[in-house]
Amino acid sequence: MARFNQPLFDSGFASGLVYYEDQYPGQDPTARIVLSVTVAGLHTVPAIVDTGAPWCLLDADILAEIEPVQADSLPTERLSIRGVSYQGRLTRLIVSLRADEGEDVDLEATVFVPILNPDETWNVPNFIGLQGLLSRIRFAVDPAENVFYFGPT
Amino acid sequence: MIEAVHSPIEALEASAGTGDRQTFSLIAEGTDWATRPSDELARAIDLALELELATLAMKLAQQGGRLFPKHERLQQAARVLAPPVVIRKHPAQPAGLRESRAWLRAHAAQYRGQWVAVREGKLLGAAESLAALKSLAGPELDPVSTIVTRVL
Repeated sequence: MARFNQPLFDSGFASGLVYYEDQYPGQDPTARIVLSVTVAGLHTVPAIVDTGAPWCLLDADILAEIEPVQADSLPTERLSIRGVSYQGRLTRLIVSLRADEGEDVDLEATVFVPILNPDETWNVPNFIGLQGLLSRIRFAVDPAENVFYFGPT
Repeated sequence: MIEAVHSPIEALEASAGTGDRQTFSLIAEGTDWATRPSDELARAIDLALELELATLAMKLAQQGGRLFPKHERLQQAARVLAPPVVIRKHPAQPAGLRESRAWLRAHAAQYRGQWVAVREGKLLGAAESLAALKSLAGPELDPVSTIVTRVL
């Protein structure tokens, strides 16, 4: 059991925890916080917690299956994500933070949907961004145990 | 000396053009958008997004939503750029995701460039595309308990 499970859950700070990975699948080990999230109830994918990213950024192929061209989609000419410019649009999707213990949290989040040229391959990890999702949850990280605690604000 | 008088949107375009985020923010925050055409506010939101000024874009979008209820794009922007909303929380399902993440840590490098599906710590399949993976794994590709990912 995680060391701070009891005090953080009892105080109401957090209601779920996940034992995160340090590396994104296939990438070299780095100081990442990689969780599991379920997107629109249809796919569970790895995603990096990134407080430097404004929006959630999810794999183009996953989103192509999930996200129809919908009314609540905001076309943008170009969007700069961490210094790289992408063509795409912003949309709202339900993203569920999956807990290993405690409770999952489902949020309606703002997600960037990249639009690729036919000859382009998407090779960017999934990210959970600050303004688009993380700003509505409380979270704490215990790097000694690789535990990410979270709960709704 | 006569100085050129710029409208707010011209000044915003100019500061965006030079990547001057600070000036852009000052002008955008200092503009009374109720007195400006709705299309200018829509353009200001686009420019804020291009400059990675997410918080400002969200703020402008909420203003646009309030000020111009009949402007379709501003209403769209207000919905999409609304703060995230917690829908619900519910007990975590015993889906074995921790085991699957551990499998990915140990084995994903062998599948670089492919899509893999992992459930309860076991590989269900690997394929060149998501569509091929879905055909391969079939109904076992349960969305709650299977991690699906492209291995980078």
